[in-house]
Amino acid sequence: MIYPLLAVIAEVTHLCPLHCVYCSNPLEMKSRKEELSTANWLSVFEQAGEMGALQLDLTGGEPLARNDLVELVAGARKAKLYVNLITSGLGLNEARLDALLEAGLDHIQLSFQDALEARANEFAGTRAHAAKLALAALIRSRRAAFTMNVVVHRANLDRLDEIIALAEDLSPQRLEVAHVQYYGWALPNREALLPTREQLDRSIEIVEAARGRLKGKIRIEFVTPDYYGKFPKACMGGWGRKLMLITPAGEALPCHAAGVIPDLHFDNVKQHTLRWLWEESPAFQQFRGEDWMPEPCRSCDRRSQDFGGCRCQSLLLAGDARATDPTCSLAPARPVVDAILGRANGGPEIANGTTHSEWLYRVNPAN
Amino acid sequence: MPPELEQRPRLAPGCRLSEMPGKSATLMMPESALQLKGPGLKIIQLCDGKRTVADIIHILHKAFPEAQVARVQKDIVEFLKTLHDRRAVDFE
Repeated sequence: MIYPLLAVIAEVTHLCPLHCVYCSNPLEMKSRKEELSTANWLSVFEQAGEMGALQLDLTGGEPLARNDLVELVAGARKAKLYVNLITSGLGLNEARLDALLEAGLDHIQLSFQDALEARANEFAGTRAHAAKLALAALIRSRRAAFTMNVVVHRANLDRLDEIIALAEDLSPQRLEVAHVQYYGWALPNREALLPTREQLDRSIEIVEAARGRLKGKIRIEFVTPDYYGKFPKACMGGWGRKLMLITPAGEALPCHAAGVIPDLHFDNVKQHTLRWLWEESPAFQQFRGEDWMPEPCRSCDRRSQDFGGCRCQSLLLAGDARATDPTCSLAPARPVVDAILGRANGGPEIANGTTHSEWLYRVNPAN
Repeated sequence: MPPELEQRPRLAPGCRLSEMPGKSATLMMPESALQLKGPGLKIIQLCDGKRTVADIIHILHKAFPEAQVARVQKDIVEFLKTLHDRRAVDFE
């Protein structure tokens, strides 16, 4: 069965002025030399539109690091896609913002790392917070759709009230409060990032209260950490069911982290049509549908809801991409997750009040 | 909150109606999309920041004369409130 492609996530570059300790990019990144050309990307967008895709996420790295971003936005709009820009904001100024909006940019998602400047800059590995505050005001001065995104974790969760108050000041239409997902650079930093159960429970209460208070003003989206869940997340809405991610070099992946799975080959938009990549390329077929599923997924009532969870997480935590996602309470490898949670909840308080000195910062690709 | 009758609903920034031949009309929003048809589509098409809620009720009632006006009003106000809560519509 072939599912309709709903959205394309275009990682247009891996260059980024930020070095966030939970960046979802892979540890091995694509250099500028390997990046797709403007014409390559425009062809991808045109093909996606023809296949009926609705949404395009322009992300990275920092998409503003591409000099042709305005052209890419215009091309995507011409292809009838709804264009989201997922950005740190660094590299944006008034003239460039207006050019992007003029080109048809639909929505800007601006990241924040904390409400407290020093800590925000610590998590980003650079002094970005003040510039972001100025940018938020600039975006609000235009009639543009604006989402504020904040990744939350052990070292900033105790300031969730302040983070939401900052959102009220900046007044985006949407606020995304997203617990860290443990892939890419977040995985080696997990010990310092994984919240305690108490922190998690408190964050749920705070978000619920804020949702009520801000109804009609700011819509709050909330992503919980799956390690604490009873059942796994329906990662990417299912493998090859809704989304396609394209790396800066043009490889088509079913998910951000799929590169960690050994022996999975990713075909490239430079050699193949988007339709072939979606419908026939081996990487997208690998875990599509239910045939690959082991027990307990295979006979589980939830298999059509969560699709066995995340293949990359199974590889990372259970050493086998075919295993049931270890965050599932029914998974044979669940003890791995429980042991990690045990350490997160039993150990000494770390990294909350004071600077954590052992972050592994995301670096930029070599040239 | 529900709109007042004299307020003028308008699609919020980042929300636009995509109408392509041969495809169902879709309200495109940040990170989501809503397929529309019938009265829902008609209402969205009228959310132009110029017409008031009362105007929209009047137009829909003319288009669907068999429905009671009180019912039309209630449905439209609720629909607009839902879209406002999703931050898809502003009331001006």
